[in-house]
Parts: sequence; structure tokens; C-alpha cells
Amino acid sequence: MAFKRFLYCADSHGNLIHDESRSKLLKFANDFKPHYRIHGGDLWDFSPLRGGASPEDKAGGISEDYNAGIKFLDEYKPNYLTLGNHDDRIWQIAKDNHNGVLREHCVDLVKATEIEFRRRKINWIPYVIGKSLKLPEGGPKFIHGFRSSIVSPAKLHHSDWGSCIHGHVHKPDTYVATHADGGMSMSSGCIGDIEKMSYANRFPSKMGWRQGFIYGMINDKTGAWHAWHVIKEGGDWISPMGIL
Amino acid sequence: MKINDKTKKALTGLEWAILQSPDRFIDPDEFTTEDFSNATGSTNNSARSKLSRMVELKKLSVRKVNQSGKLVNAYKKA
Repeated sequence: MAFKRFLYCADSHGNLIHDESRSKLLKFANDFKPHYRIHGGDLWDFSPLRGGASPEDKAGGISEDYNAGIKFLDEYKPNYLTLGNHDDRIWQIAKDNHNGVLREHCVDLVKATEIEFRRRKINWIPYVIGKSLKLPEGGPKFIHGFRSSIVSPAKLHHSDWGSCIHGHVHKPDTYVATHADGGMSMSSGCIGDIEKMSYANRFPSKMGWRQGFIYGMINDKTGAWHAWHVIKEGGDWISPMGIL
Repeated sequence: MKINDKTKKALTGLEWAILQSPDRFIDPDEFTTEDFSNATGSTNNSARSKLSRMVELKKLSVRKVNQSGKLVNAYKKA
């Protein structure tokens, strides 16, 4: 029997990435040497493409955001990626948008992005309900997350997806199922800079957001798994291994 | 690993297309659900349902506009 190690991070949000979280994660990856690295989506922010984007958002462009996302991919080197709702904006516009010019240019970027993933040998899935990633040994499903409530997000996702690890809500949370078969779900803190995500400044849910990521181990025979949060609380990065 | 030239080209093209896409702001003869609810003293839900009924009856027309970073319905007399 042997255990395989995995590392999960999510919500890096392109050029809104939190530099300290990025450094902690990469240092942790270097020490922990995970067999699998998973990015749980919202690799980019794509704020100029959201429905209510202001002229200032649009003027900011997307190159800086896109390049920062690719740079982070090259540093973190994930084997797996689940697209998030922010990433999905270009896929959605490419599929269905009343503005034909915008749609055609999104089609081009979608094609180019899928090539970028292929060049980096990343096993990725689109942001679609019902799609999830699994490691070869089994274990939890990896998804970006679809529910935005931060009241027990892990429990809510568990009720729909079963044992899973997800991002999306930026709030570290763990739910341990009480039924006989057990099971556990976890939602991860984010790698994006909470301070820079000003669009949520009026949402009370932002108070629950934390910088963070998740690491774990999976039994390569049985698929049994355990995982733990690494969370920035105040100025300290706390993990079950101690202060990082 | 650098991004390839096709990606760079696609990014430049999309940035141009974003800047060309028209901004949709509210016109002076339009009003939102919030405006209607404030003017009539009704709740947001009640205002929304009254307005959608008037749209169904073709007394009002509706379109989506940007307001404070959100897409909201803007109504005007049909």
C-alpha cells in the first residue's frame, strides 16, 4: 500500500493573483512534492467580459489577466484543471452571444487556449454541471463549484456531488458526512487577492473569504483519502503541520 | 513556456472587439425596477411582477443595461 499526494488550489484570478499566496503555494509544492497538482478553476478573471462590465473594465483589456494566468500555470504546473465560471466567460460568449464580432474573437481565443492546455499536457474539463475530475486512484471529485452560498458550502456541494473538493466560494470549509458510508467534502480558500476583488466589496459573504489551498493523500489501492486546509489567518499561514 | 503566436493574435483581436462592443447604459426615458419600486412604494418583488406583466401586455419594452457593474432591466413605454 502506498499513498499518492495531491495539491489543490483554485481561484487565482489572473492578474488579481495574491503574490504571497502564490509564493506559499509554490514553496509548499516544492516541499510536499505532490504526485498530482490540481487547479480548481478561475485561472483568469476576465472582468471585461462580464455582463455589467464598465468602460473602465473594458479599457483595462485582458492580455495582462490572460498572461498572468498562463504564467501561473507554468509555475504551478497542474496535471488537472477544472474551468471556473470566470474562465467560462470566453467559452460562453464563443458559443452564444448576440455580438457576432465579439463571439468570433472569443472562438479564436477558446481554440488558442485549448492548444495552450494541450501543449502543457493539462487534463481539463469545462465548467459544466455533472463534469468533474477524478484521480486515477479514485478519491474525491474535483470541481470548481457552482453554488455561491458561503453558509456551509462544502455541505451544499456534498449534497449534489458527493465527496468533492471545490473552490468558487473562496471560503475554507469542511463537511464530514454523517451517514454510514462516510464521505467528506471541502471548499478551498483562494489564491487570488481578496483585497483586489473589489466587485464583492458589498457582499457580506466576502467576510468569510480567506487566502488558502488544500493538500491531501490518497490510498493507491483503496482510493481512501484525507485532505487538509492551509489557510492564511491574520498574518500567519496555518496548516496541520504548523505555521508555514 | 511562452504563449504561442496564435494566442497572442487572438488576445489582440478580442481586446479590439471588447472596445468596439457598445456600452449599454440607461437612457433618460427608461427606468429600472428599483426606480419603479421607489416611485410606487411597492416591494421589489411586487414591482418586478407588475413590470413583467406590463411587458407581456406590450405596454412596456425592456432591455438589459449596465448599472453599477450589474446587468439590470431597463423599461420604457412601448
